[in-house]
Amino acid sequence: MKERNPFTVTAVSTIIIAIAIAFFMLLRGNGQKNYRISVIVSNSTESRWNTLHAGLEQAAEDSDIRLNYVYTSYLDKLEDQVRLMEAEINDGSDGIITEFCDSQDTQEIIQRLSVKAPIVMINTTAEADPDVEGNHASVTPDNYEIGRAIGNELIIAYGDELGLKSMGIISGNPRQTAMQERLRGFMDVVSDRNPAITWQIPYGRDTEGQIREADQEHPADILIGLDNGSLEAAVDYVSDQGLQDKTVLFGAGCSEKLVYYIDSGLIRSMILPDDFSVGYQSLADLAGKLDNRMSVLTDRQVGYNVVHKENLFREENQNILFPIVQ
Amino acid sequence: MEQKKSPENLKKQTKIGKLLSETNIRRILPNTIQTTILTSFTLTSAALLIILGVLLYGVFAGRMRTVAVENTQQMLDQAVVSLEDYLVSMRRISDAIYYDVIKGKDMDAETAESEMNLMYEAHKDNLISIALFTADGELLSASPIDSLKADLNIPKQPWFQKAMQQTENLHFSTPYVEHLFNDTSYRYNWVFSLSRAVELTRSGSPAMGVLLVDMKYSTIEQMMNRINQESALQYVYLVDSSGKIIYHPKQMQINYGIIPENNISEAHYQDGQHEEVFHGEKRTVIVSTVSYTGWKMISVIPHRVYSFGLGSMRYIIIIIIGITLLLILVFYQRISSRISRPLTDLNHSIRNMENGDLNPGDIYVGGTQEVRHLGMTLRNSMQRINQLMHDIVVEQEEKQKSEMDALQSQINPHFLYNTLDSIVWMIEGEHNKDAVFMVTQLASLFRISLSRGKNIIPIEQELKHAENYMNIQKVRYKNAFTVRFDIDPQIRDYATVKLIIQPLLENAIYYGVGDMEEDDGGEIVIRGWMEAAPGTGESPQAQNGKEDKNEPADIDEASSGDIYISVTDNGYGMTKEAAENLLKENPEGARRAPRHGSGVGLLNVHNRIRLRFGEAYGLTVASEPDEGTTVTIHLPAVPFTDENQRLLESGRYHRKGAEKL
Repeated sequence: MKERNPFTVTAVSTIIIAIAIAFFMLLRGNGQKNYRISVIVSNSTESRWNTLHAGLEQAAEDSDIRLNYVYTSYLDKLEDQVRLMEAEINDGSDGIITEFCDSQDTQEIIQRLSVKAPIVMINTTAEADPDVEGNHASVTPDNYEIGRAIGNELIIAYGDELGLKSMGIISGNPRQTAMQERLRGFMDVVSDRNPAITWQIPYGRDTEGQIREADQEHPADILIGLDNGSLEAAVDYVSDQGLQDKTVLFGAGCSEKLVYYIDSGLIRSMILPDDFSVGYQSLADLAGKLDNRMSVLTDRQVGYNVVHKENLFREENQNILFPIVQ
Repeated sequence: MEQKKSPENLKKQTKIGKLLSETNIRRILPNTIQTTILTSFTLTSAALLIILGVLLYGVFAGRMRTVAVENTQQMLDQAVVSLEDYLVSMRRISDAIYYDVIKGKDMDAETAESEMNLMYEAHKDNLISIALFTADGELLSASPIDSLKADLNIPKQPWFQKAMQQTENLHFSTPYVEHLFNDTSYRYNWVFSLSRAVELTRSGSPAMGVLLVDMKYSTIEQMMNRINQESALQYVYLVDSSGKIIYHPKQMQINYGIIPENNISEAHYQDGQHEEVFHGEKRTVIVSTVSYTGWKMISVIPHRVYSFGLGSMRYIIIIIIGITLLLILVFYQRISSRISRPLTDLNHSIRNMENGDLNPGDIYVGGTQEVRHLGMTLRNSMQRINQLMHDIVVEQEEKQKSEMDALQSQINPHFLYNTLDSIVWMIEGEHNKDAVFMVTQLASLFRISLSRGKNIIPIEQELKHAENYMNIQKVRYKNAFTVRFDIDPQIRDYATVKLIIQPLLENAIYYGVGDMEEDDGGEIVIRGWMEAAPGTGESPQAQNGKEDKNEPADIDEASSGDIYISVTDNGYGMTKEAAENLLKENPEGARRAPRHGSGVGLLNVHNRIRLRFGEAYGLTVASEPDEGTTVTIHLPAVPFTDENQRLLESGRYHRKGAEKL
């Protein structure tokens, strides 16, 4: 057999390797894998998610991620939500962004699913085992502080007279840690003034009916909605019952409907969680995790603003309330 | 400052040194012609190709950059024209309402709503609302909505204030969320406003008012989005004269401080192209001012756009260079093989020669002219070497044969019989002394003949041998002739081949003086003398004397003279031609050694001298008919020493200039 010149062998091998790498890079192009991330929130088509969507979409564009909004109606059962999450993962989703409808007994679910696809919990945390690999984390506002801020708004509005007022509270989904913390924060602030809390109901499928029932039994001067759904239900109840002149509303939320009622004066003051940041940050973190599986997802907190009729259309608030999504 | 080298470092360096040693490099790149040609050609080509590739890439990248900037400038100009067209169209709406509707009406008596509605309907794709206010902020007419929100302080609105401050101008606002009118669908629109102060007629009196045209922000947004769709990295944005962003593809990120933008500085750039470094990133910024508004449309081209676009080009250039190098390598492989193959084949032939293949026909002859010439020369040299080797073998065989002949001649039965017969005759005649003399001479003759097997003896012994022989012959021929020795004593210690004088004497007897009567005065004269070599001032004997005292001299240096020994008879002589033929191989009528003689001819003597000392030496014959014959032996003056004897015996004697003589 003819003896091969080592120089020829080395040169040919080097050139072929260089061509192969260049060819591979050329085929691969600049496009990395186009990851898909699914977003699962209750009542997915509601306008209250507009700001969240804006944040998600901007981050998706920046990180070159495909977003998949999972259509949902009202989610109040953890099993339904888990089924949706599993279906999305089986369908090829690389990551999940979700607001758990139930924060209890979620350890096993989070542990099992986050191994398959990293999970970012938004708005509320949920019970989860310590996560060394950083496959799950939460992006939420400081819900206790939001509760306190609602209480502070009441004190600013009524001062010492707060003790003379009766209050009805629609406390959101009580199985969510977020709502529990908001309520705790709220109560911590207002309890010193000894207001008369005439009723407190959770947010559910027929909240407006429950409010009517409770309010007719024990009429309240002030209605407090601890989340967007609760406040919208309170607004609907007051509008339907023609109680605009009698009842004052406070709470937390972000939908254009609520903005309208702030604008019209029905809602005296509203805490506006930074949903844009929740959306942007959760997706950016997840994209980072997908790009580098060794990286660790960490919990983050976003801020909030207080809006009322006077500052509603100020530049800083209109950017949050009416996001411009290109 | 010299750093201290740790033992580990030293070990590492030694290892690296070993790896890079010349031997290893030679192992990796064998030092063959083909490898040298291939390596140097390929590396040169690769370097040239890479330089060419880099240059081409640089030129291409520069061109791409220029084209990208030019295209962006063109695109920006077009975008500005489109935006200006749109703004002009909005301005025309405002003009139309003002000059065609408001100016002709008494606003207290009539309403402008129907015309406003018509105008709105015609342009509702771009408009949100048209409204006319008094100087106090009272709504006079509006389309399509007519109920203002309660508690609004219209005169405090920025667009209203600007219009009232500069009544002669039209004012375009920056985008904001419109919230003047009641809308039960909870919708809020981003708008930008065109406001102007208008002169109204109210109850026949002139009054001031403000005409507001709210345009959809989404129209501009869509227009700008279309421009920004083309590139992921470069983008166009819009600012007002103070740098406040009107449109930016990443407006939310900028609002939230996620992405920074240099909008404030860039708003103050002059129209045209600018280079800047913002947050560590080099970028080209092209600015173009939008008429009527003072807005600026700014295109930002980060420099990484150029390399981003050229990424594929870079890989394509690498692939092209790689493939070209492969082709070049194949080509050079063939060329170098073609050049080196004949040399390799020739080298292979030489290796075979070293291994013993001495057949000249096996030597490769081919390839280029130079290599062919080398092959031919080598083949000829081989042939000559073979010939010389053959000659040496023949010469050695001849030498042995000649010497055997000479030795055998000494025990010629005829000579021995005659001699012994003479001795018997002497004993019978009671010439005991003569008999003893004869026996003594015969014994001496044989002793010298044998010489313990040596062929080289001192001249003295050779002369003694000749003397013994002549003494015996003189008795046999009853002193029919006389013998005279005339020998230069200094030649006696020089070396000679043995048994060279006796055959000459034998010839001189048999063909010269043997048949002459005592009274005829037959005589044989043996002379011996020495001649210095040309240019040698000193006699060989003197040199020899010196050598005895000092180190043994080289044989060539010591033997710088010639020795001549002649045998002359005054017998019948012969013709010149006959004399010349005596020393030729088998000539017609050559004078051969007689059968009754010792059996050794002149030719044998001549050959033996030449075989030992070279072609320059040997015999010369001079003869005249009826005058006699002289045969002269010519020898080099080689002092007889053990060393010289050994050298001469082994046949390795060579005298400088011997061939020339």
